Amino acid sequence: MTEKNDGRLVDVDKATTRRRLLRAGAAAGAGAVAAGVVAVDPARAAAGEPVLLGVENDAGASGTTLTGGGALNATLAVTSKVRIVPTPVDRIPLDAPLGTVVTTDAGDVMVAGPNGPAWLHTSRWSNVTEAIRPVRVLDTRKHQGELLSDGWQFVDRNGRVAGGKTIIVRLDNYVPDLYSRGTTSVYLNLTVTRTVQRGYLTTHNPLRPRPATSSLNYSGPNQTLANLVEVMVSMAPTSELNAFAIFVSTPASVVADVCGLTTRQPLD
Amino acid sequence: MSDGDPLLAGQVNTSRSTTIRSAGPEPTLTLDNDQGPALRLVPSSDYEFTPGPGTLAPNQTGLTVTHTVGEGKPTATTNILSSGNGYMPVATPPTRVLDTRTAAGRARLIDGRGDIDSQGRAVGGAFFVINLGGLVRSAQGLFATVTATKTAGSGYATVWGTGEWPGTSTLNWWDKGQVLSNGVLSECGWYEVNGTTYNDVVAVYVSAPAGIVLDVTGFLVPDPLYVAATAARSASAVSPRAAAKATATSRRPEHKLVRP
Repeated sequence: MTEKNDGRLVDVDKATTRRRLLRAGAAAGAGAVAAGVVAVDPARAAAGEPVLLGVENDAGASGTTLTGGGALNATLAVTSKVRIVPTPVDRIPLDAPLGTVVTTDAGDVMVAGPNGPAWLHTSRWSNVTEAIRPVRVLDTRKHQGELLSDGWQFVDRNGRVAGGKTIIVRLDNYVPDLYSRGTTSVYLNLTVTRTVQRGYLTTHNPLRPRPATSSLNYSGPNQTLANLVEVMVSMAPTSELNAFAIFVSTPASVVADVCGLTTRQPLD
Repeated sequence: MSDGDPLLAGQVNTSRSTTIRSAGPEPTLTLDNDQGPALRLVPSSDYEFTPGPGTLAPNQTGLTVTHTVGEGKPTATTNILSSGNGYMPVATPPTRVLDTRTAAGRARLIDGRGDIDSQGRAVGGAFFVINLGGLVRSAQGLFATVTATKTAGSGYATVWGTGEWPGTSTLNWWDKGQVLSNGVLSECGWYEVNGTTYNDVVAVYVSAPAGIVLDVTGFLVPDPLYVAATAARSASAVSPRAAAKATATSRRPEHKLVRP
């Protein structure tokens, strides 16, 4: 059974002077919220009765429907937030009516769509891809860039990285806000030049072993070649450093220009 | 009106937090308005209140949701990603938007036609601006393949979308007679020429003579419907999404492309 309240607009405006009274109860979870808002009237069984402001209204097994509003007036306007108490995951209906919104303790938000439940992307687990204005973060010919672990010792006076060595390139002083935006990877144009023989470069997350892959290959001396590469850079959770490693199989100069990011934090 | 009073339909009701609880399979609260929006969350500047798990609140980037981090720990708030605050890569049928060697390949040039020699090669120092109109609107960036051919010696090309030449390279070659390609991820920007503003452009700078080809394979957009090829095959192309203004990618001054 569903109780209906017909009207044009319902606008619930919480009194800010009283909001602090709710704080302890709301922070402690669903049950505590109910307990925290019953200063006027403890939990109330209200199926078929008016919804009372500022208290818990318990409708039992019945839902409540508000019908009303117009093209510009929402059926219900709330200042400033609405809480949908999380539903246990095993109780989320797979055939919920279109428009149903459910939250979970983990912060996931489900919206029932025409093809079943759909999960809204959140910055907790999803990410966004963004192009950025290209930034040169490494040019071994000019000793430009920030290398961790004393990596410049592997670069000779001609700007070539010694063969068989790995350098770790820190990005934070060249690309701002990488850590605060939850950056997981960057896109970069990787260029090799001043080659002396055939070889390859491998980029990878410095926290992980070098993979048996290549990011850029060259076939002989005096070549200049580039490739677009995506590489993980996050050193979290133990460090705010953002860096990537480059393994250089045979001596060559290396240039890296960052041109895109994969982050969890949306644009402002 | 105070706490404990009935909620009055069609009126402004002021109170502390109001809870509606139910335990059945029906939704606890159903909002029904076939003439307009059913729910509005009015933004507030009051952030002193720590919301409980499941709280949905508007902020400057859209909507946030609060969740539990762990037992005994404070709650945390994360952003819900939407077409208002994030971009997604959307593939498009590969489209040649520049080929300096052919007249058809030069059709989208809005600047730089004079930087091509009689053999269809970009001259050294060439600056091309390519209009992407008709393929996409309000793209934040693009994926493409850039190719150099008919090279006369060593050189490089830079693909970028905003501001002046960034001092970077996208494709390099080291000798004459080479044909080389590289992937591209670049911003898109806007450009003014001869009193006309073009809202979706990308630029190519070429350091030394070479034929240049740019094939676009995808865009970064707030919504797939911003990509023409996607909108054309989507039944929802006539939806409000398709007509929505590009709030997230509205052209700002810093997105203007500038000739080197």
